[in-house]
Amino acid sequence: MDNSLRLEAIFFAALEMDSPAERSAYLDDACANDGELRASIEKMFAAQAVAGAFLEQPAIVGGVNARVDLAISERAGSVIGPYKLLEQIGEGGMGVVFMAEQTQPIERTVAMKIIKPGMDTRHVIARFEAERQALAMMDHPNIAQVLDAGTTESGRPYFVMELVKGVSITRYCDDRCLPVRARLKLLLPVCQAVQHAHQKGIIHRDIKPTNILVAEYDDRAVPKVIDFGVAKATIQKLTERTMFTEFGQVVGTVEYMSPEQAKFNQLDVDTRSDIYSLGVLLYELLTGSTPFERQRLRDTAFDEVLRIIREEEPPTPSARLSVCSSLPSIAANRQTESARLRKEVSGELDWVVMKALEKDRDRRYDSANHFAADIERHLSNETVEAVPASALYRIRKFVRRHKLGVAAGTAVSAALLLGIAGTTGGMIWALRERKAAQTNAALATTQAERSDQVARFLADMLQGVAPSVAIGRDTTLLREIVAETADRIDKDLVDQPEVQVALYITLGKVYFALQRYQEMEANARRTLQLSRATYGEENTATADALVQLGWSQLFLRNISDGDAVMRHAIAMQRKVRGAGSAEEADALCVLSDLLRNEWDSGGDRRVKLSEAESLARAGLAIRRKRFGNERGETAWGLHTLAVVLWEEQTEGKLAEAESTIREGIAIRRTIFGEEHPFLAWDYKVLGKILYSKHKLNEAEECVLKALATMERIDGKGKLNQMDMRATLGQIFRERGKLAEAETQYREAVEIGSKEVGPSFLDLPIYLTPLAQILAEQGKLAEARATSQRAVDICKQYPDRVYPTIETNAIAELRYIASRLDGDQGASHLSAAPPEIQMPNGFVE
Amino acid sequence: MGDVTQIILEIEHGDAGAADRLLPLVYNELRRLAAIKLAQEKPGQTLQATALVHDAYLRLVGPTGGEPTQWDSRGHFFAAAAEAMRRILVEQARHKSRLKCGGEWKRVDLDSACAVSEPPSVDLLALDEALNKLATNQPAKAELVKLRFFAGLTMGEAAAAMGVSLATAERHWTFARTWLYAQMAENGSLPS
Repeated sequence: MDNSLRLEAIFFAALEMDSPAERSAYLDDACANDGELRASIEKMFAAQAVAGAFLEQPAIVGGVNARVDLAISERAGSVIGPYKLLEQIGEGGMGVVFMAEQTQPIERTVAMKIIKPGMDTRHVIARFEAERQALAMMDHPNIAQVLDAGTTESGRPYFVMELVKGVSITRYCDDRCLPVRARLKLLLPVCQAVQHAHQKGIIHRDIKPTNILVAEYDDRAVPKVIDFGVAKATIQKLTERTMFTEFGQVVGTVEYMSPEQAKFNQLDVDTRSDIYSLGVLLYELLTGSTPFERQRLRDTAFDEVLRIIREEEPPTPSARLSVCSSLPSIAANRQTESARLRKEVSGELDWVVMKALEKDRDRRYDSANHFAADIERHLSNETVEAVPASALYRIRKFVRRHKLGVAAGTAVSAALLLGIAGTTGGMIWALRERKAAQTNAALATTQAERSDQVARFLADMLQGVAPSVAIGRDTTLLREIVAETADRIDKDLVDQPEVQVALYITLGKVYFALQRYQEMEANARRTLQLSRATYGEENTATADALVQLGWSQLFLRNISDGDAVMRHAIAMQRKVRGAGSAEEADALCVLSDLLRNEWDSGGDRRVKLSEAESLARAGLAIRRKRFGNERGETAWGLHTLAVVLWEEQTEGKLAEAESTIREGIAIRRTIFGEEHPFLAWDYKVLGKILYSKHKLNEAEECVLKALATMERIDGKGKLNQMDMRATLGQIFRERGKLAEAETQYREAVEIGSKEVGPSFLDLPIYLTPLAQILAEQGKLAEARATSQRAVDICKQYPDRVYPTIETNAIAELRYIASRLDGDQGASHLSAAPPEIQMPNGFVE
Repeated sequence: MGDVTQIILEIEHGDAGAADRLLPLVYNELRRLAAIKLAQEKPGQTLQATALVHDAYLRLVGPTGGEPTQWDSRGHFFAAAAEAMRRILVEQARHKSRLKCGGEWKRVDLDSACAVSEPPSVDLLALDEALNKLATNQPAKAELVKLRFFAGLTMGEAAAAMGVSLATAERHWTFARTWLYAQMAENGSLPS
């Protein structure tokens, strides 16, 4: 019978007819040409007459052997082919898992998964088969292998797998009290297994500890991924009929479910969902709890649970540890103590985990291998790829989108990286100071909220900019954004001074990266004022603001002011953070730089240099201790020390300077590769050192390399190339290549004039040698003009220019004048000093 | 919150796959309950499917006074229960027919044959087959039959569970019963 709708309509219509005759007539009409339909209807009516109470009585369960019928199923002792079931070891929705003994062709113990009785519909069988196929497609030491498949006597499918004698990975780690590093190492093969599956087009979709068993083979712990029961081969289709329906995909376990799985749009789930679950696993291995606590989820209404998974940001692992009441036992399970564990987890491991747990799967690791690689990097003390805040991600994207110069972008990124990292840590001090009385729980939540808030704020700012920028005006746009950011911080966060302070400090680093030193100073002063008002005089916030202020003074060439501020900053850092903090190291290095530019009343720099050297050494020592010998911070410390040693110019110091800078170069190369401004600066310094050692060829090579790199990154004529050109000029001059030397010095002066202004304080450093070179080539008139300019600038900044520079300039002018005019070559000063031009550029 | 209630909510959210999770739970519970009850009774004793299903409901979801469940939520449960019950019975029937045909159940512990004769029952395998056919073109009607026959819901309860009016349900019922009867008669599966 078909065409049932028509059938139905006719049936009911005919039913209404009173007499058989009437009915017959109606049917003649309605079923006119359709003999089959007529026949069907007739059958229906025949049935209707005798159906009686058919089906009116609901079904009964019972009868002979009913007990037996219901109890029959595979159980221990049953034999299926060459397998004898030993005991049931697990049960899922579709199937039951038994431990079984295989007798043919070899003897071994295996695991058998059999479809449950009553579950053997076409669709379930198809899914079961899909699972078996999925497993059979994979061949990896960390995935349980499929050995065999078949059907039982009652026609139910089964497959045979490698029996993994082990416990769940979390239990394994706890039972053996594995420390964090060992746990991380155990996770690596799991990632590889997942990667393998992904490459075969299989998404596991239910990665959780009970699906990762750790067995010991030859004293080695081998994790194995089992139960691809909900795995989805990427080619499989969904079928959906009515509400009471055919069977589609099974959702994974709630605590390990990714946000997109919690969305019911199962078609949307891809391999990155597994990455999320791996992140949850890592979270649990580190902290003993899942990001969203089990108990909490259990006690919550289901659709709320899904909303939480989709929308709520879980606390970072270190934040979770902070509020955990059983922290001591968790730490004990990781062979460490509470404080140490928290410390070990915070920072990089936090970042790695949170990146895997990103709601937006585009921001997660895009493969299990990348995830594993970052873990490996952490284990070998290299910098991880994961960065903590949306801000940095957005900046990078922004940089790429607008094709900003890599240096600007990198510098900003680096600054913000430092900033955000500092901010996250910074938030902790902020809250601790202000709300000392609060309980741990509240603290940690607010902590997590705040750092996230800070990061989001910056991210929003950087994202909200309309992408309308002409190439070449990149920095302008960035500056606009930064200005607007500052404005927003000012206005929008007026009632959250802690957040403001943290953001300002980060902003300070951005100004530095953009080489906007005046704004950096203004910002630092504002920050200082605010932190004093919010926290008082002696605290970490104020200490950090002081460091920034001193730092800005260095670049503004307010050396003595900077000196005083920095010393104050160092003392305060030591007091509020204890000796040896990273911030203290920063301050020490900056003070060292300041002192290099100072002289005492007798014009003697030696004393200052020696102190500068001790400071640089101290700063480096702290950095080595805190960051190890392979980190960027240490490289920076090496750079600072190398420069001081070079300035001291004795043979011993120069030798040490060379080895120091080479170490820094090695580090920076590893971290940044060959194309990076930091590396270029290092090469420049090496060039200067080699020049001082009279290794002119090598020196030239180094400086050319540095220059070429900077030009590629930033474009020609930028301020950071000024000193490089001058150094090159120096080298050429030493080699007697006067014309080339002249070109270089001209270029240096040109850069300085253009980028800062014609009265840039640093220009005499280059103008005087240029004048000398011109004089040596007999271009006396121009030499005089050049020299005059040098002297004029010096006079503009009384007491700010290094005495020797000034005396040199004056002497040079006199000499040239004397050659030109006989004895009437007195230098004369310009009438009124032109407007003072402050440098806004970076000069080494 | 219990697993079952959880899953029901899933279904309500339109998750196509959630019913898949509900069924095994309900199925297991029904089997368990049936086995328990039958064990307590004399051999050959019968159980009303209705009673079993309602019992299972109480155990899995809880008394109606607790969770604020709507009838359509209960509808999901009963739909699953009906399907589960159907499977149990079909399984039972299959097993019986195999025994009759001398199947290979070597390890079955057979109770000694009972003197009590089996009560007349609908040929479940035939009904199952006919129901499958009906479901192809008229899924709603098939569903109604399941709810009424396998889960023992009254017409009113079934209508509410399916979200249709009583009149519509009555119509479905009339048609379905007739159709199924006719179908089974054609295949010679009806008791005389």
